[in-house]
Amino acid sequence: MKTALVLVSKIFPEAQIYWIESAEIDWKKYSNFLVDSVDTELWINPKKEWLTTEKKSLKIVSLRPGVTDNPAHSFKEMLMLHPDFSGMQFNVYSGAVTWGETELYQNALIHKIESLSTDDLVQEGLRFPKEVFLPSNEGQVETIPLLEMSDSELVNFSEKNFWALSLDELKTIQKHYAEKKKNPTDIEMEVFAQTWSEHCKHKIFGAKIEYSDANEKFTVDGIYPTYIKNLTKKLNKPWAISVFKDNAGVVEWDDEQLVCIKVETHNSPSALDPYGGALTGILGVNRDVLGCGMGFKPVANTNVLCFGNWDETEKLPERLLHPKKIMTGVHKGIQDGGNKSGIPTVNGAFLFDENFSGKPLVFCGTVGIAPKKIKDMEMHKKYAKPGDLIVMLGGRVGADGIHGATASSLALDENTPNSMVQIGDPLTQKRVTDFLLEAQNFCLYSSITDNGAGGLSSSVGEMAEATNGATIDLKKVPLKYNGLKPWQILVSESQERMTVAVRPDQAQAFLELAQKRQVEASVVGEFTESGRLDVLFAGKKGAELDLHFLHHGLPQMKLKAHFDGKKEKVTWKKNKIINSSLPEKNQTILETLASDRTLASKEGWIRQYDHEVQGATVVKPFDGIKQTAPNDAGVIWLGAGVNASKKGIAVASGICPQYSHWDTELMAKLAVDECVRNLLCHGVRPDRVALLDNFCWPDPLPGKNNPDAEHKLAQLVRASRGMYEICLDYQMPLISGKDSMKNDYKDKNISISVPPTLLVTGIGLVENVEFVTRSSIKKPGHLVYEIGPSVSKEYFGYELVKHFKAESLTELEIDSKNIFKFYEVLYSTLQKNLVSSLHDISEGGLLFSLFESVLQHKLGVEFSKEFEENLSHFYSETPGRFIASVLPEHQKEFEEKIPTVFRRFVGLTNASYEFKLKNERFELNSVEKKWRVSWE
Amino acid sequence: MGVKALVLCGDGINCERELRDAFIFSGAESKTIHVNEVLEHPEILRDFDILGFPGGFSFGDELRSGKILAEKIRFKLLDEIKNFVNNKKLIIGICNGFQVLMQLGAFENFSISRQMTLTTNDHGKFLDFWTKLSVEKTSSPWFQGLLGEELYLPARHKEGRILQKEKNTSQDIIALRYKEPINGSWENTAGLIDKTGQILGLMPHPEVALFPWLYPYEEGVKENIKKVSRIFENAVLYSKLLRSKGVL
Repeated sequence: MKTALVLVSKIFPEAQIYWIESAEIDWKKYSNFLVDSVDTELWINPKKEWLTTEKKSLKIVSLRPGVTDNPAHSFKEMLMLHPDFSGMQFNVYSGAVTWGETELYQNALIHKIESLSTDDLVQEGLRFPKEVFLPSNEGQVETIPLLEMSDSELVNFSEKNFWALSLDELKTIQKHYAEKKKNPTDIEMEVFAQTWSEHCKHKIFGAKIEYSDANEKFTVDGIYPTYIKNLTKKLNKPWAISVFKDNAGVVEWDDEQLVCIKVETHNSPSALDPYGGALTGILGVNRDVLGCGMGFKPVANTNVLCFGNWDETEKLPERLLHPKKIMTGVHKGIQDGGNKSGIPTVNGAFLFDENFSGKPLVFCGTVGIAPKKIKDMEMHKKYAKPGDLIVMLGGRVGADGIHGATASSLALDENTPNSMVQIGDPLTQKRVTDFLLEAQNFCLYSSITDNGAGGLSSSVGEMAEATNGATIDLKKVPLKYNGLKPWQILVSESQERMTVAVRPDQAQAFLELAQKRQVEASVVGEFTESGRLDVLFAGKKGAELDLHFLHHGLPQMKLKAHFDGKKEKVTWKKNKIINSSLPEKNQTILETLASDRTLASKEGWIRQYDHEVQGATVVKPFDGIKQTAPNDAGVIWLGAGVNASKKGIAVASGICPQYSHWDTELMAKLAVDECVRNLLCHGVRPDRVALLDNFCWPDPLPGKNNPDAEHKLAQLVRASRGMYEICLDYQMPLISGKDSMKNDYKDKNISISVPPTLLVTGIGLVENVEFVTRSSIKKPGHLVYEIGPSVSKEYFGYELVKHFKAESLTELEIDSKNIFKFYEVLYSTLQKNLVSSLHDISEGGLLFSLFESVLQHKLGVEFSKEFEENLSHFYSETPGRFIASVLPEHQKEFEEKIPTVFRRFVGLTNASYEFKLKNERFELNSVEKKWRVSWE
Repeated sequence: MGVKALVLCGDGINCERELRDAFIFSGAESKTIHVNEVLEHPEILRDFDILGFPGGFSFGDELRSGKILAEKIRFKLLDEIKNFVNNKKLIIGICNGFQVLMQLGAFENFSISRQMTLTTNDHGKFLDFWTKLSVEKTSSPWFQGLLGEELYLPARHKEGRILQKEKNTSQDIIALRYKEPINGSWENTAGLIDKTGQILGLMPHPEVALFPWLYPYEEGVKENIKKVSRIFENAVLYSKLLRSKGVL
């Protein structure tokens, strides 16, 4: 029988719907079991009940077929718990209905949205959702007539199948099979497409690039080996114990524990379905950490989000969602991803720029910890041996996420497949995580990795390299439903799955524990030393891939890069904004800057993340008893629950895409410096900092619709070189990174590309969490200093130029060697407890940063006569600088430690909550009011 | 033998480590055990003096928070839990654990038809912030020596608003109040005590307020920690006494 159970809230104008297919049940008898009558009513197959909503029309939202239905799964699990229902079969579908102002979260790609009149509902009741009929006959392995194809046929075939392989690559595969004198199967071609995708192989970062600009010409034999790997090798830090080879970078700063970190992007999925995209972004990077080494426990999440303008009024192409809608959905995804998994969200940022309207950038990061050793196993290594079983666990495989890896290597356009969109299931993943960490204690597995892009084809394909072979039987992979083709099973990116290697004699113990913890685990093959990845289907060979060719046969890309010079910013917008002339009053300027959405308070958003679950967050996003002042980094206590260690890990980020049009070299250096400064603000040791690079670029590959590809590639070379140079000067290695190279929207009429963007994420060691410095100045009578290199006079900060008719940017120099010398002095000053608070000066400049520093205790500052008051000093974004406050009794010692070239006395704090400049005095309540901008 | 605390884990619970450690710091032997393990062997409850329901997102908060875990427990463990209470032992539920206890009817004699519930905050959001609370004058082992005191704790929840069917419900069960309205809860209630005083349910998280470096502020932290620790120490002391009296 089919029943619609409607759980109607007595408080809000909304209800949950559960459609249930089951044997005959008198649901009325179970109303106490189904609903909480204090705030909820139960309607069973309602008709006239709808009249009580007193609304003419109701909006009903349900999920499209095949979309992960978390409420239904949980509801079904609850039904199965009831003794009366034991052994019964249930099919459950969930939905929601609203008749008020509240807008339910919805997206046409995953939701079916119906507006129904009350009359219809009264007459016909709720319609049962359409069942999904999938072909029950099994798909077959097919042979691809690759050897017979001409060049143009190859290209067309690749495009049709979303393989995103270039002609050069296709011909390499063709040649390989010509030598074998046979055609590949569809499974084999799909595995090549996944493994050789830009997403998995980072072809652009490995390409040989001929670079030129007005002054110089050189060849880069791979950006990655030249500027990234080489840097870390040169710096040769003994504590960077696993870099670039695993899912995350690992450092060793503590006697007991290892720390790992990974940052990923989930831009395309978030553009299509902001909630699902961000949620799977978070859950995905959590799995990277869980699959690093022998498995790390995720202990902190970070996120950096770039959106189009919140207040965008110009019409966007139909397929693009409004930035407001994207931000709301992404934020909810980040929230559920962290909160529901019990991982604190400790650090992040929101940026706005019209050029992020085509694709938002959604960076998701996770820090993990693991003991150094369990029994004989070092946790940053893997121990798979030939003969170990391949076990897949977690979610089942469905059609969702097929071609995620290859599609993220294509621009978003009208043809982007909807199967890219999927919803995550935090509960399943939490169960998997708990189970794996338990199994880890008993050493029940010998290797582990996540199933991310490319699904099993990537996870098994990568793990097979360790033993030099694997056989996988697709018939043994548990499916969500029938009707999948064999290659789809192999490349599906269905979420919440991990792949582990298990010794045959431990399989029983492993599988039994999994069953006890309600985690589905299936043996799907074994690791071999055959030199091949063999795929079986229905007893027959579906693929026989030469592992060496699969992983090393990809031809190096050869590209040209030419830098056209520094340019003015270009946007897609037709309506150009004309800046108002520079106001005379600093109050007006500061109020304008404070209300800029990138600078304005995001407290309302951030507070919806749990920052302190796991009981280890030392520095939270906000500081003080009222917790209003923003901090610069998150700090996690490493010793929580383990030992007496007082060590901590700080995590922070730096991102400056606003400078990219001008020069990406500058942009990259500023991003590194901003990240490092954010770490230093909380007392991190400068010689224990590890950095991560995440590049998100507009398409730098030549093509008919991409006239400035060479310039964009040159921007990439320059950014990488800039990053390399400053990291070398700061002596900070890169330990992990990722790139995303197609952040463009294109249709017939419009093209929107993101500004070239480098996110730098850093972790650093805090020796004692009891003595971290924080951003807020604590009391009246404290001395305020601007510390760091002095501002170059001719330079006006970006935010000032953005809002007012001010002189455009002139060259900004970063003397990174000099800055680093200052950082070392600063750290030794902090060690002596001579600094009471420390906050970095970045977007907006000194006045804005000072405002953030005094906000918590509503203090004022009377500017000293010796402080040079001019526009560049107030608003410059010259890097390397901080606002430091010092207790009067520490003045002498502080001034002895910090050389005069690195400090300018700003003034004394008082209890007034106002800035008193030479010729101007204004209270800060009005600035704060503007800063607390409305996000309605 | 020392006092033993059992802290449940699994099914999306995520604050078990902190709660377990809070009891360890207070001198108890404390262990986290998976819900499924306890349901399979309900009698293991008899070995323990204190039962903890930690915070988290059991079953992803689907349907309503705490609901599905409560049903799971109701069918297989409720009798043992009732015995546990009859034997004068202590139970604590924090945040999602409080929601589970509420759904089990723990504050209304485990009755199926309840008069109160925990529902969505009036502002409709999950929020994380530290907030000031006062300990009400109730007779409960959990709050010995703390009556009338004020303390700061972090609150992190979406469904923490207590709702009563009847307006004139007795306020004797209120153990903790928010000093200012934060979510529309009945009488600004943050925590409840059942009529035996043995079962404590509260939305804010005392288990993470035991170390000064986890506070977002500096002034008065030491004193606050003393008070918060007292809650757990009270439970351990009470259980010790209970054992020595030979009630077990």
